Amino acid sequence: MDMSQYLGVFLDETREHIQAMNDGLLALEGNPEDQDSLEKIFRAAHTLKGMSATMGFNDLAELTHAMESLLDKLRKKELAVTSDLMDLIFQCVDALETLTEEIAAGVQERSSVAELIARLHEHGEKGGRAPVRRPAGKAPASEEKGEREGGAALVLDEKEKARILEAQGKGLKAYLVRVELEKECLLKSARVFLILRNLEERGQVLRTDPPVEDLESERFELAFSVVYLAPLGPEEITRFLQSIAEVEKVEVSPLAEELTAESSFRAEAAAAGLSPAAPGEGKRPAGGQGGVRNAVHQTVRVDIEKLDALMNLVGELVINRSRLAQIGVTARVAVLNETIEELARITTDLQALVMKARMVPIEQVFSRFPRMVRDLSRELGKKVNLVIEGGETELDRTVVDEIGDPLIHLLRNAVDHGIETPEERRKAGKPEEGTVRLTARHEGNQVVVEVQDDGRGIDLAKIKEKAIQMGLVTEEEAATLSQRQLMNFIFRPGFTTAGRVTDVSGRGVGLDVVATTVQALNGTVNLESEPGRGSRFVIKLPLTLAIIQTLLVGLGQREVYAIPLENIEEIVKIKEKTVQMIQNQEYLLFRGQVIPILRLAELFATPDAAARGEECNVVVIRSGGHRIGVVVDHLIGQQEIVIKPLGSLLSDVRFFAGATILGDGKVALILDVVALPALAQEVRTSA
Amino acid sequence: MADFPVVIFRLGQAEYAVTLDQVQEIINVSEIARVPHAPPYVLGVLNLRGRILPVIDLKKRLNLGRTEIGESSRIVVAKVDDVVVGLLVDFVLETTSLRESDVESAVVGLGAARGREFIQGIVKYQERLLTLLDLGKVLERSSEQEKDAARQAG
Repeated sequence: MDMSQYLGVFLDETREHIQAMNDGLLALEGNPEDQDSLEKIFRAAHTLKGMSATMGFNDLAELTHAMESLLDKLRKKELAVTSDLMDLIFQCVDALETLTEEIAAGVQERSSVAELIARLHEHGEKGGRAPVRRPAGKAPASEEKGEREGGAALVLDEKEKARILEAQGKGLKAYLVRVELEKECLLKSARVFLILRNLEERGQVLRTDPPVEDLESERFELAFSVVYLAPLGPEEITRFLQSIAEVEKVEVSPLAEELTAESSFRAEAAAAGLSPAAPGEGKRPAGGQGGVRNAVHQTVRVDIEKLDALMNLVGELVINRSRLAQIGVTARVAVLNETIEELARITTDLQALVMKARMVPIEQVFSRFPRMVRDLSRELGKKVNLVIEGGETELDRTVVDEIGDPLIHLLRNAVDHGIETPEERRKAGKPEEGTVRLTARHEGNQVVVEVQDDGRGIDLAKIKEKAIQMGLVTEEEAATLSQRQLMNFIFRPGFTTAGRVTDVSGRGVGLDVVATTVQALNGTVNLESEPGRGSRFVIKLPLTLAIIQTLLVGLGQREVYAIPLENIEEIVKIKEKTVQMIQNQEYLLFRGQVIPILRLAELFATPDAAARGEECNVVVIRSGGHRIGVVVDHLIGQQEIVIKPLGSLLSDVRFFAGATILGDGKVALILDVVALPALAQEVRTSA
Repeated sequence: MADFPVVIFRLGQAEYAVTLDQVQEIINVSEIARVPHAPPYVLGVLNLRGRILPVIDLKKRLNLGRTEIGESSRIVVAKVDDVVVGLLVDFVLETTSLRESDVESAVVGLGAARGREFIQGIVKYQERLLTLLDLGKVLERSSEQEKDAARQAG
């Protein structure tokens, strides 16, 4: 049987199961009594075994089989959870991962699993009793429970009745088709797809029970029902459905007279040999396959380009809504305004939904780190506790995809260079176990990801020495640099202060890659460190939210700029005479703080800028811990805008984060508040 | 030899041609928003049906001085390698077909001409001489000229 069409599904599911095993093992390692995690790992191994056997991946099947046997003993408490055993199982999971990726790459299981299997058996024997083997391919008892399914309350709505009647008018017959799959059936979704396609080829599928989405994501046990319209007799339908592999049973019952009866489907379902569902019963019994699958996020994969296109369309809609709103203000027609308000509500909801669809929790990246840190710390003989916080923080899918590698570098760095050996730590009066903290949180329209360790920290003197040695700065220059400037040398290519080169890091690659990747994402990375106390890497990334709230400001008679509201701390009117000039830079004393003033019209050389009067409007912007007062000619108002790229021709213009189209069709540029202070400084010094 | 369609337009008194497949459309000049600190030949951006279209002053780009926007001014919306840019021109004359064999790519004396790097060749058409522009080069960001310009501006 040709399985290639299922390969994609197989790989996706296998990866999910491997991740589930990894998660379970880590939990189990933390708490050897954790029976739930053990069950989870066991089930994942069991399912994997069956799947890979069906697909003909024998190494994978044999290894998972051996693992399953061992896990079975663990869960029956015939064996105790020891650290040796955990290591072995972790290795097996790694091997599974390797095998899976080999299969994905089209290499047929090149890695050998014989040794691992032998070791698994060896461990199993230690347990004393002979392994209670379950014959391969046969499902455990928990899955054999007869479960009601495919027969929930199916009540036809008016539309469906109408369609049936219409179809009958055309000579089609209506059926309730109940299909039951074989118990051993793997990749049920693929099977369902095949069945539905076969049905569609010959007639119309009106609806399915459970709904198609549930079928596709395998949220059903073995049977499902289809309301089917076709010009065929029941025997014919039964025949072609039974010719599909792994179909256990097909029941076709005509659906005709009862159509008018409200409960026809429930009756039909019952007639088809199903026990009626208790009202409100929606939960699947735990322990069955359905239970395992529910633990994994149910998702539909959507091409990111489609989401982008959708996002753009919503953007257009928002622009047109603003235009309509303006027309509404002038027109003053009550009916129109009501409609506009309704439209505004709908667009807002739609917009929120589309944005959400593009956002994924950073958890997706974080989830692989506990395992990595565990392995690394063992390898290096260190004790490290990885604390993850804010995994639920959501950010744009594209950013999530890119941020993994830089974080791996930083974590490896923290464990290898940051955290000391237990002995060193004891001497330094610290707890033996070092802590690496990985946190994510929203801050304004940015996401801040921090990697912090309580290790030995980074010696500024060493960095300075190294920078001079590498010819990055002269000794005199180095003396004038700020702490932060010195720290940033660490992100230069080839820069390493590690005395020794370990397997893990210290080859001078890494941090420059981190900096490059983060910058490519329009983000920033900074390092704070204190010798003896630890280091903290702070990565700031844009959410790349395509729609933001802004304050529109005007320069001269024509120019309009948008400032992201997130970065605005306050808007004040100040007297010109309160502005102080210190060393060619204007400052303002504001709430007890001295903040630099930036005159936007001067910076942008606006031709018809307003003359300086007695007072001026200052927008106080907060960006990267700094505050800056931006002087503008007029304040226009708050508006939600869609960020549009300026295009590659203008990608060198760093003052703007993009542009937007206002309600009146005019273009406004969006200030890049993150870059603004530094850029203004550059312009001033070069002038 | 094959024929290829072109759009012919005027910058000052001289006539220029760009191949039609690089032209998306020709639009009237609407309000252009200035982009501070952009290269000097970039006039700004405008709203092209909800998209941001950067517009460049082609005359300035070719080192021929500045364009005064007038009644007959048009923006030729060019698309090269997915980069869409508006080119401000003084007058759009016609679209026509040119013969490839009429393109003279190695014209003596052109080497010294300003903006030489943007010129693909000279074409004789109905007793007139057209300059066939290489739009790929015109839209290239990192041309030497631009670096000079940026240096001057900075």
